[in-house]
Amino acid sequence: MTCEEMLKALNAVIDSEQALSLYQEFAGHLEGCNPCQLVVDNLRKTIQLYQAGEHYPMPEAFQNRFRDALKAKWLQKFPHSGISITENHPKAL
Amino acid sequence: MIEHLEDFREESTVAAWVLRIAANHALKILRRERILPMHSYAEAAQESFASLPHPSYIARWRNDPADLAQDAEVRRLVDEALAELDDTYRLVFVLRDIQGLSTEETAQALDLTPSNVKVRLMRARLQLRERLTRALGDPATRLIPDHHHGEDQQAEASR
Ligand SMILES: [Zn+2]
Repeated sequence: MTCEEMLKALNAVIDSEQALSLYQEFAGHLEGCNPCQLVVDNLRKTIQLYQAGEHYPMPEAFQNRFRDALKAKWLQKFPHSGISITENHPKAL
Repeated sequence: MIEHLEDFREESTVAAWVLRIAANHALKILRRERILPMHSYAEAAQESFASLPHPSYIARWRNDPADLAQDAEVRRLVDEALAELDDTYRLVFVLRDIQGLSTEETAQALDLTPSNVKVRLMRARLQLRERLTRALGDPATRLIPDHHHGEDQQAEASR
């Protein structure tokens, strides 16, 4: 695996909460490639930074409401998409 | 009820700002009476993983994200970097990585194919990484990428 191929596969690496050993090939490349290791680390931290801090996690009720609204729109558009709306969270904000 | 998102305009948090952008864009698309095939095959081809920009500034960050997030200066940087993304990339990043929607949900919301969502997400993440690492990386730990790493090995193996 080259750095180029590594780059293309990065989404899978970043999104995986499993150990990288699941991705033998990635792991093999990463082991021998400090730049790619750091890029993966940078990307994880970038995402964490956007998710961290007092401002970044949406207020839960707000987030749920936003998701519900989106899902309701989808259901209108795709009645058979199989997405169901959960009711067990606060409506008020 | 989504209309009430407008009420949050006064709120000067990133959360409110991000949601405003996400809601405006997502709903603009969702409210279209006819769903246009937004993405021609030509565009989809252009947006393949083949043309991803290479990471250029690679260095270890000086601090952890949790600590950095407390810093007003860093928060400003983080906002700016997000604002600099093209709308199409920002929206995917916000829905996937901040809102936590799945690839499939994001694809449906934005009327994209899942593979398009993945490519855009990767582009957004790479652009944000580049920008943030230039500011938050420790220059002493900077590594110069070797774009040909792994190629010798492969050539060898295929012989
Ligand atoms: Zn590499």
